[in-house]
Amino acid sequence: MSDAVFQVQDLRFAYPRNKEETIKGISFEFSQGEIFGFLGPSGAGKSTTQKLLIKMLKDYKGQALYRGKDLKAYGKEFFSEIGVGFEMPVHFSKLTALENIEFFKRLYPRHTDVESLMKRIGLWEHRNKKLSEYSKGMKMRLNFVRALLNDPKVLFLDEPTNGLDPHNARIIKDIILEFRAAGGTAFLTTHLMHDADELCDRVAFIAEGEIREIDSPKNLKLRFGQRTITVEYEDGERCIETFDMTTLRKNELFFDIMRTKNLTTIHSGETTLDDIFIKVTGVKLHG
Amino acid sequence: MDRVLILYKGEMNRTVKYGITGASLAATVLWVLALQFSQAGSVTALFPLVLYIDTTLMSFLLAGVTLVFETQENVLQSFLVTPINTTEFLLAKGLAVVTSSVITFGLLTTYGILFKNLSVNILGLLAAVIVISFAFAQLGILMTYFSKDFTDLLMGMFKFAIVFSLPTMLVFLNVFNARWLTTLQYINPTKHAITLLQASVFPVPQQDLIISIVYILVLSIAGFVGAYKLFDGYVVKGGA
Repeated sequence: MSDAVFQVQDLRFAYPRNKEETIKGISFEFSQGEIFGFLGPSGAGKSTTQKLLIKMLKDYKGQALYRGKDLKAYGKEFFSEIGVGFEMPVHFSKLTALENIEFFKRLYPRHTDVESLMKRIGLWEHRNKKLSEYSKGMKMRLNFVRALLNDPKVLFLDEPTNGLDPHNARIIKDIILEFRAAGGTAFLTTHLMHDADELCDRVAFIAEGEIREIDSPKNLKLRFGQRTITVEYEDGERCIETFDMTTLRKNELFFDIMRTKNLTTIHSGETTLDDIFIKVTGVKLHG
Repeated sequence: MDRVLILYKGEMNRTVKYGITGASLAATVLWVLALQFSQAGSVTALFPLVLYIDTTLMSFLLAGVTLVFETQENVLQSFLVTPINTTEFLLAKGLAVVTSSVITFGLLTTYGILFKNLSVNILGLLAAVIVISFAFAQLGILMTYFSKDFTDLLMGMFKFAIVFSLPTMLVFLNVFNARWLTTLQYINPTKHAITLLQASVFPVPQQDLIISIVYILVLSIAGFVGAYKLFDGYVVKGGA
C-alpha cells in the first residue's frame, strides 16, 4: 500500500466564467513525512491547487485522493487533520492575538501547546496586543500559529516566511523541519527558491497551470547544472579555466593549477533553483 | 450544537469589540427619545413601528456589517478550513443578530411599561421580533454577498428601505393608503413584518396574520438556504 498522503491525477479546474482552465491536468503525489514544494510564478496556479487540496474549491475534474480516499468523500473532519497557513493575515484586527487564537482553538477537537509555540516565535509577550497594533511580520507569525493550532498531520503553507526578517524566518523554517521530523507532511507554496531548496524533499514547478518538473532539489540541480569545475587564479594576470568533472582526476592541468597557482575561487557548475525556476517556467524572479 | 455556541459567543464578543453593540445601543437611545417626546397615549400604537425599523433594517445591517468586517480581514477563509460547517456559522450569526434585537426590544419594552403606560402582548411581540430579526438577518447576509464593501452595503440597504420599508411605513401611518398599494404590499416582506408586530398590540385580521407568519417563516428558510448555498463562493472570491 502506498504511503502517499495526497495523490492527484489529471486534476483540472476552471473558475466560473473562465473559458480557459487555470489547472490543466496536473498529476503528483506526496507522502507521509515529506515536505513537498509547489513553486511557480504569480498566476501559475499554485494557490488554486492549494485551494483544491484544502477543499476550498470543489468543482474540479480528475482525481484527488487523501490517504487513498476521494477527497470529495471527506466531510468537515478533514479539517481536524490539516493546518492551513494563508499568505495574507487572517485574523480579527480588533481582538488581541490571544483572543484570536483562543477563539479558533475552541473550534478544533485537538490542540497544540499555544503558549510554547507563541513563546518560540516571539509573540507571547505581545499576546494581549490587538492585531491592528501588529506589524506585518507579527501577523504572518500569528498566521503560522493559527496553522499549527490543531496539531495537524498535514500542513499547507502559502509563503510562510513572507515579510519576515531572517531571524524569524529561521525560527519558522526550523519549526517546519521539526514538524517533518515528527512525521508531519507539508505542502509548501513559495516563490522563495532558497526556502524551497532548504526545506523541501521534492519540488514541483508549475507554470500556466501545468507541472513542468517534479524532483528533489538536488536531482534538479544535477540535471539542470553542468558537471564542471571552474577555477579562477592569478598567474600574472587573472585566469579562468573550466574542467569537466567526470575526467577531473586525470586532468594534469587542473592538478598543476592546484599545486602552483594562487587560487582566487573554485566553483562547481551546479545550478541553483532560481536558475531552474527561470528555465522551467520562463519567468524571471522578482524581489 | 457546542460549536454553534462557541461561534455565537465569538459573534457577541466581536459585536462589542467592533463597536456594533455601541451603535445598536445608540439607536435604542434614539428610539427611547422618540417615544419620550411622543404623546403618552400614542406610544402603544407607535411601538410596532419602532420595533419594525429595528428588527428589519437594523438586523439587515447588523448581519451585513459583521460579514463585511470578516471579509475585509480575510477571516472567513480561516473559518472555511475549520471543522465547523456553513450551517453552524450562519446559525450563530443569525442568533447574534436576534440577540441584539431582543436586547433592544427588552430595553424599549421596559422603558415603555415603566414610563409610557405601554400595554402590549410581550410574549407575542418577542416571538415576532425573533422570527423577523432572523429573516432580515438572512437578507442582510445575501445583500452582503453582492456588495463590494461597507458603503456598497449601506447603499443597498437604503435602496431596500426606499423600495420596501417606506411604503410599509406610509401605509402604517395612513399617509398613503391606495388600494393598489395595499394589495401590492402582500409581496413586500416588510409589510408582513409589521403585521406580525401589530398583532401583539392591536387586532389584525386573522387571515392577514396567518399569511404574514407563513411569509416570514418561508423568508427565513429561503434566506438561510440562499445564504448557505452562496457562502463558499463568496468566501473563496474574498468578497463580491
